[in-house]
Amino acid sequence: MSAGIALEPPLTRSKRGRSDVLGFGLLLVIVFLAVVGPLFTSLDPNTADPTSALLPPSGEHWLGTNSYGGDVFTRLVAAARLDLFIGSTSVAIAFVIATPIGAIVGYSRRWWAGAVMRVMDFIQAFPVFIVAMALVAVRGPSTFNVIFVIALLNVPIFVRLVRSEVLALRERPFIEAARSVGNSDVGLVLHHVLPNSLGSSIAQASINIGWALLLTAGLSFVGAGIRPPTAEWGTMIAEGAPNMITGQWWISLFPGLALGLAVLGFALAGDSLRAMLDVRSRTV
Amino acid sequence: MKRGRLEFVGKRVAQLVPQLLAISAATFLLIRMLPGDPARALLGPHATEEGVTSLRAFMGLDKPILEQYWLYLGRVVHGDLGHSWFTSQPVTTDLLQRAPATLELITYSMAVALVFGIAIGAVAATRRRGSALTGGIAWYTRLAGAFPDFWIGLLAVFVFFYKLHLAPPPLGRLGFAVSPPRKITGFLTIDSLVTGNLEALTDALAHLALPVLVLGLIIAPMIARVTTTAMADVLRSDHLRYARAAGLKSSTINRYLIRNALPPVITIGGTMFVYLLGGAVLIEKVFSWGGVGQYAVQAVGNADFAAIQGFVLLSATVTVLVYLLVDLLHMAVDPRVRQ
Amino acid sequence: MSSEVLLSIEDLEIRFPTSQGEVAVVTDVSLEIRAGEFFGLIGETGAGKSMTAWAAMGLVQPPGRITKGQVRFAGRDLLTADRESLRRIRGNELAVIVQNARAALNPMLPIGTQIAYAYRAHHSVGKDESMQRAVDALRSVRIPDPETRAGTYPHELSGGMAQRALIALAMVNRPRLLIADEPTTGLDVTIQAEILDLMAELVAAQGSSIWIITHDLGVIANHTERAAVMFAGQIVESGTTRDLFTEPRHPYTRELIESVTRERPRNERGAEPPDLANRPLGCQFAYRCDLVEEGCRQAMPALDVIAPAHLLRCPVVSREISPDEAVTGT
Repeated sequence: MSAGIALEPPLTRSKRGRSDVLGFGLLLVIVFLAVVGPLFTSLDPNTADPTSALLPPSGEHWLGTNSYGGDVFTRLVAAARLDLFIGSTSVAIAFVIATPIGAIVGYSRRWWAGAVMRVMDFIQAFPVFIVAMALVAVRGPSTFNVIFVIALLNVPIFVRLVRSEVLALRERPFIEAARSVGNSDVGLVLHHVLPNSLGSSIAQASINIGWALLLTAGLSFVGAGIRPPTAEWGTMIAEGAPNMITGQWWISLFPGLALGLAVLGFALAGDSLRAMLDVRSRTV
Repeated sequence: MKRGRLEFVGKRVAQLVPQLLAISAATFLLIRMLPGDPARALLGPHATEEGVTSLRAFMGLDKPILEQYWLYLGRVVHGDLGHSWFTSQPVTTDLLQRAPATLELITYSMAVALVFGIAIGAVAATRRRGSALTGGIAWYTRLAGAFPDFWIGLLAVFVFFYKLHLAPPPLGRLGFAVSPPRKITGFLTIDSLVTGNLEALTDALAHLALPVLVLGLIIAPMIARVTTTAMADVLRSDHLRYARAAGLKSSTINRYLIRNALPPVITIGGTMFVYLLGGAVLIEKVFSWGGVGQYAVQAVGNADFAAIQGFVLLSATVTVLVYLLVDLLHMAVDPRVRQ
Repeated sequence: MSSEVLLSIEDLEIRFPTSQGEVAVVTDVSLEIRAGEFFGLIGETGAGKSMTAWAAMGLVQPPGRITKGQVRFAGRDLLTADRESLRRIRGNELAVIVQNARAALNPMLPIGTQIAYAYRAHHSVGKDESMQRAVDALRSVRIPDPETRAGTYPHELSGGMAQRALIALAMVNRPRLLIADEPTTGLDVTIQAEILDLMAELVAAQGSSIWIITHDLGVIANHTERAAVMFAGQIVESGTTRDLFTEPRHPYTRELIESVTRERPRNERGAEPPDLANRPLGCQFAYRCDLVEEGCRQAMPALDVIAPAHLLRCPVVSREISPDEAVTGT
């Protein structure tokens, strides 16, 4: 679970090809699993069947069963749906809210632009996980609150990103020219400045969805997020935690594996997107 | 140049005041976000009517919000962070009792991360660009950042405790049969060393091993990456080239290398330390560590809002202080910072 | 004037890999610098002057490499010497100053400390004594209040001050040869003369030699006794400074001198820089030379001796000067 630091190292051309494939490939698998997965199982992710508790992976239960007989595979797939939903929704909301703020703050030269950035700095300065945990605890553990909190924590990231893009574009000659011809500032921002900044926002969004997944799982793990027995990767890991001491490794292993691969996929895809979209936006 | 240094320190420390005020305001508002009566929520499930009434009066809940904040600030400044209904103790006491455990965990994790991270980062810096080691570190970073740390902790428990019987069970800092050393610092390793309690020392180290290695090795690659970049920049720099042209001894050149590559490493060290505060919460749960992290998790589970509020205030304050320390270290090391 | 040869470079070739293959950036370069001599190397940017100088110190920046030639300093072969021997010579008997003095200094240490380190690198003395030497060095370059100034950091210095500090560092060990690579380019015009005069004074006082590398003809004219002109990585003419300026022989030298003395702008004829990646077969200057003949493009012209201590790489002009004598190559 990462702090808000860019992880991706620059890759050479040939290595880029491989990581592109890997990133988008992983994403495809995860999404496929989430969407199509339920078709592979006839079980309800929330069933409890104590007679089949703690069974290792087998032909009947591909990934084994947990302490109350729930089929890990079924739950894994259901969790994928929930987690992807939470991750993408929260990041999308943050993106939608933050982009106009970032654009305004970047374009405007008024004093309050600085004040807004100070607030953003403030939000970003704290241990993300602790703030999220406290907020969800206070508001109550529910999917909505998790989305709300993650969106809130993502807003400063996008504000900062859009702002820096807008700042850079603000000084470009073609913006000066357009303005001198009489185009309104708002129109300029909407039609010229924002579209050019979208590239890096999309790439960042991919990476942030990965972080949102980790944050969601972490919150669930400590009981400040999605509550069991809802199938979510974090709650599944929490459910299987006591069993690691008694040897039933599959209950926690598979959800964690799925989570990690999903995050990796989003991170690599984000890196690829950044490389692809960056080049294009530079030629403008 | 002493004047410049003093001014910088003064300015930077003065910034603490608004920062701490902002933090206290945020934690104050946190409780106000609770649905219903904050006083009732703070007293927990065993709240009595008289208790609620008197707490309401104490907190000034009928007064205007600014006055409430002022009262809260006054209490915080005097060390009163409220009362945990679950432990029946003041939150401040709870935190002070558990802080050393977390601090010990984080300190050792940080040490492991720094030693390992700087070592492989420095080696990677001496290799050509795009070498196998640099690529390996990049993948290490990606994987360490993608998989949840608590899950890695659980896997470590499975492999090293359950399968290999190398690590003790993840049930706290010390085995049941071992008597803890006399408390001096609260760090089991230091206290047992100082009091000559070898049994406690080895047992404490054995219990520390897994969580420290898990946390440390997860953040190490980030430190490695920064070290590599920083050192590579210095190795390519004009001034290092000139130092060679001036025939400086290799010991001097190495000293230059370290000194000049230090600032970014200090920054990442601070960032990672703050990250560890959050990571500790999760790892403490996995290993039943008994530190403030586990306390926070229990508080969340128990709807012990005073404890949650106190914990957030503590972490936020520590964060602010860490960043201050980072800035001061920068000032000490890099003369360009003092302007 | 015959005195001992301090630095001799013979047939130096330096190659550099580029996207178009390995390019020879310096080729067939030979020169000699004598003890106590003020020598100049002239050429435009990219002519290979700096590379030649750094190669002479054994410090070619990889991936560039020396593919041919010899460098001897005070009789020692620098290209085959071991690391420790080279280290002992650099900064000690052979020192260098560069264009961007602030960049050459360590931003994290005070200048006095850096000079002290440079002194201790070649003398086993204690900290105090080396600091004293550093202060003395700063005083010798006329930095006011040297004891206090020794504690300043490079970023606190102006360009001129930084260059003085660098000169102090380079000269603290009393080198026998000081290489000055564009020492005043980028400095305020008013300061340039001061710095150059200071350098010349210090070097002369020690009886050392100086090798000034620059594209600024004024500097060469005022501070060197002998000079060589480089074009496209080769030496095209060398001789006494007076001869080069009063009677430039090589068409390129003429172009340079005339652009300064007659105030004719250099690029009037659209002078393109040479393409080092696609070197023509014969003379490298032929493509923009007005004296060009058939034979120029067919074979690489050699350096002829057209007068004592005057070399010229242009058969056309050589023939004009001494039409009866057979042209001999050097």
